[in-house]
Amino acid sequence: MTSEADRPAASHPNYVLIWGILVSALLVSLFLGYMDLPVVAMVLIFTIAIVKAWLVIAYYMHLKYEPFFVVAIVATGLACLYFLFIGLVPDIVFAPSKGGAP
Amino acid sequence: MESSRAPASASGFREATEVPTGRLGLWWFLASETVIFGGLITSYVLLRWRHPEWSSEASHTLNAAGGFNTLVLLSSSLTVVLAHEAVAHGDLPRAARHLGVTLLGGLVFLCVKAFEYSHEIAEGFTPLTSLFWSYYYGMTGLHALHVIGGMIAIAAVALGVRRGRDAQRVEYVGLYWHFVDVVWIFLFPLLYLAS
Repeated sequence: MTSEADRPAASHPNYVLIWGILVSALLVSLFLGYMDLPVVAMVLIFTIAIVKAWLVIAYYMHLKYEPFFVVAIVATGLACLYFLFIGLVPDIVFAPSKGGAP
Repeated sequence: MESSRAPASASGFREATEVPTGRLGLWWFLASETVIFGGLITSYVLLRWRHPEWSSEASHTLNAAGGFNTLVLLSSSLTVVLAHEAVAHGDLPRAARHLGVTLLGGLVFLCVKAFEYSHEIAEGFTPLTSLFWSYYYGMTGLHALHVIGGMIAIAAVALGVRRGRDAQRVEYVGLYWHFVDVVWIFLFPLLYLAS
């Protein structure tokens, strides 16, 4: 079994390179924020945000190197959010408008 | 036949999961935090869906300040993971220095956020101005509280590491700090760029 000290050191990527990719992605997002193509820019901006979050979680938090059990813990939280989102759509998005209602 | 796996009490690993107890607890904690921030973000996204006019209000947030703060948090994530790497190599003084730089990053983040708040309040945008601004102050304020909590934890761990104690905790505060970074990675486009 891999020891605690060996786990990240033996297989981790170049952290500075990951940081460079994250900063480059941030600069692209900022540039897209000023583009005159709102829908396309928003799709790209949120795609980049998901990629950035994945890079931090996978390589800085080492989720990529964790056993399945830990991945399942993270998936549990995300599954709760998914059901929350689906459950709220009818109440927020498709509910008829009333005076002063959100 | 003798198992090659060390008992949990000796190595700190849980035999069933092969994960140290501290790290396992942190992941459970972060999963619960995901639901806290995720609940806010989910309801905000749905309300933005219903109210496209919120984009004009989001145009009053300061993209440059938010972008700079994103850079600060990404950089502090790098320094905290380098601190973890230093611990793995047994270089505790270097780990303590990296944690110090991470603390500095958190302080810069909070100063920029305070500047943004004062600018926005001076412009007349308070938490009571509209639902958008309630969400803005609520989500960024909760995030700032997490940054402060993380800084306190990192300072305590850094002091221990300087004295050569509890070096394994560097990974645990690092996990928490990365989570705070991940939350901001989503708050930045939602509150600043989507305008």
